Amino acid sequence: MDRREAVRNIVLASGATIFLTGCADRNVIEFLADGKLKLNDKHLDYLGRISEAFLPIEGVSEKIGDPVSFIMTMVNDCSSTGQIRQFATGFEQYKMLMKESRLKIKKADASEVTTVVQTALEEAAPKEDLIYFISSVRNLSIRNLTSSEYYMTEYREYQMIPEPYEPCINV
Amino acid sequence: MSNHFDAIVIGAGMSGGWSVKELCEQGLKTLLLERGPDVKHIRDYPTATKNPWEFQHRGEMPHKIQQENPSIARCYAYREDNAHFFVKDTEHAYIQDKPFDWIRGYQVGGKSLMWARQTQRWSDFDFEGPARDGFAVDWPIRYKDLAPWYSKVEKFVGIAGNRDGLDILPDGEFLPAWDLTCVHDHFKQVLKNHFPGRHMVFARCAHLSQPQEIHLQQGRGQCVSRTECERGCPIGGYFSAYSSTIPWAEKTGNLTLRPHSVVESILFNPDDGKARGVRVIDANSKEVIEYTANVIFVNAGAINTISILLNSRSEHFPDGLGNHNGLLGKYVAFHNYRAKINAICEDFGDRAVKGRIPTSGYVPRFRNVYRQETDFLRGYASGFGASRWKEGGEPTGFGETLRDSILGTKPEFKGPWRINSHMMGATIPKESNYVKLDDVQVDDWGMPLIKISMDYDENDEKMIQDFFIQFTEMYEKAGFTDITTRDTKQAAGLDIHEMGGVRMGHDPETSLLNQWNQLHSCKNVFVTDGACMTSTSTQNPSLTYMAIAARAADFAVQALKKDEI
Repeated sequence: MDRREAVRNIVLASGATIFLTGCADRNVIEFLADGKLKLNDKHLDYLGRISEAFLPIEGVSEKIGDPVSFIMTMVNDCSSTGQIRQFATGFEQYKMLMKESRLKIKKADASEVTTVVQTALEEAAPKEDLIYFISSVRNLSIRNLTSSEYYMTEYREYQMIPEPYEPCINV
Repeated sequence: MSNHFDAIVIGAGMSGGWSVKELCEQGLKTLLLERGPDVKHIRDYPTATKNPWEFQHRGEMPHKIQQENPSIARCYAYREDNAHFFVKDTEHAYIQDKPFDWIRGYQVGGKSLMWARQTQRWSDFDFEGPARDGFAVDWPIRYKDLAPWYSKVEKFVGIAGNRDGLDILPDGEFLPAWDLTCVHDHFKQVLKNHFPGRHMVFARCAHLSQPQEIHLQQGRGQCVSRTECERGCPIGGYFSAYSSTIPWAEKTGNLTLRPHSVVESILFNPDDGKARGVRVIDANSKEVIEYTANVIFVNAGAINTISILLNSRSEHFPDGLGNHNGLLGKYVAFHNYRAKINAICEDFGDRAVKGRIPTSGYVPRFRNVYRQETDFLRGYASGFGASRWKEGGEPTGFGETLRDSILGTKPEFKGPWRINSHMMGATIPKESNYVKLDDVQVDDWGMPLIKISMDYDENDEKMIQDFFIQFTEMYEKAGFTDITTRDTKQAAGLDIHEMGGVRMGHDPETSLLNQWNQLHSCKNVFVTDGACMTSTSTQNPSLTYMAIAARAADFAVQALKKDEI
């Protein structure tokens, strides 16, 4: 079964009702005077579910910080005003994509969400803002994980005082 | 508190630290003026013991700050963990007559917290360069004049290095070096076998690989290679004015430190032809205060040193103190750091590095050393880095696929060694390169804005191309592949090695300082920071500034005793 077919199946299986985002799509994303994003709790919850769908980390370790908090910090602080607007537009487009795919984010399986996303990314003329949003959430979710205490200590073996230096070890 | 001192030192950075250390140790009641706040060793290193995940932006600087401060944002060392030590472009404006990224550290200790800690001596190939090649003016000193002062500084600072026996890079007083990697050894051997006169050595650095008694007396301990040096090292594993010279001077009881002190000018007494003191503006209250002294050391950092002298106008010196010949602020120069080269080494795949070291390899200058062999003057040194790090899983797809690609396997050594070199080229001081004061615009303290004009020239462009050709050839011979060269086209300044403008020389008509760093025309004023440099050479200059400062301070003390200044 190719991805397009999978999407079609998901749509059929989920019926005709639009579940998508609960209240989230009824709220307009706001901007603060300085151009930063102001997301309400429902948006933040939705963003968290997107991040979890892209990179499921629930239950992995308490030493991984909240991805939503990190994503919002990085988007608002380390992006240009144009990039922040692109992120917001892409967010709306993402919600629309889910809506069109009849996916309810709270209930949809992560694999269903990602199938829809990957299909959208493979469109002949994918939406630039949508791609930016998806890439940002994915990349920042990855960064949140790989720069976490959990990953740095368990995988990178980070120590504040590093192990003694050896210039040429056998591997 | 009396406003009279035996000596005043303007600027509490790398060279100023050495000036006060020497002056205080020899019994002079010394006032140390610093325009920025006090920063105390350990106490004022707020990020030193933070883990990487504790930084809100994981080291990245917020976009707004980068936009507002484009010059420092281009500096490799400006990061979330040490941004508080950098002067923001917005806080201290200057005028770029030509693009110049001015990297500054306005605090007690100056830039000695953020420096790269590279400490290579100069040789007579450097001091004799201008006379041999016919640029700038002849240095009034030679290596033998500075050698004992290099030794004195090195012993106190603590320099890790090898005695390599190279005439282009004189040996010093070294602590043990760290061993370099097998790839370094390989490259070293390739140079030895195929490129006579070219060497790859351990880059000497100001780190305590094996502390001696003098370092323990400073309260410093062994470097543990955290390589988070720019945050401040609570161990004192590397040298900084914060951990070393300034506390040492304080222990003598002869030091008075006054932070938040913007030096407006040096006051000249026409009756005896000497400087009598300095006029200071309190950075916070804007109160104007005068301090007097018998001798004044100017160590404000090359560009600020020039600006203070230019602003020290009097009837006798209408164009700035000591500027009897109109050369003050001219012949400024920098280092050409534009050229980079990278490659990979597929060999030694069964070897890797464990842990970290605070330095790398160093290729001393090999061009135009014994004879002029190219169509450009002087030459370049280069760093040589070879590293191999554990690579995690390549993030793939979405969902569980993505998670498993990251967490499924632990990072391991699977990629090749990454090789890199960066050029450190000499630039030729030119009269057309200058630092001036603006006639109209002033800063928040009423000081004229500084105007800077420095640029690359044809000599620099030829040098960059030669670096690419020579290093490509050496890399190929070493079997490195995927060789890529890159000209960053960066503006002057990012080397953070501004030099000249108050150059030393024999002749008062063509220079401003004599062989003891005294202003030719105002003998109790000494300039011993980067501004005194007659030429630039290729080596990182801080060690030479420190040696020059120590030498000049000793001379000043002896001259005061003999009532000669």
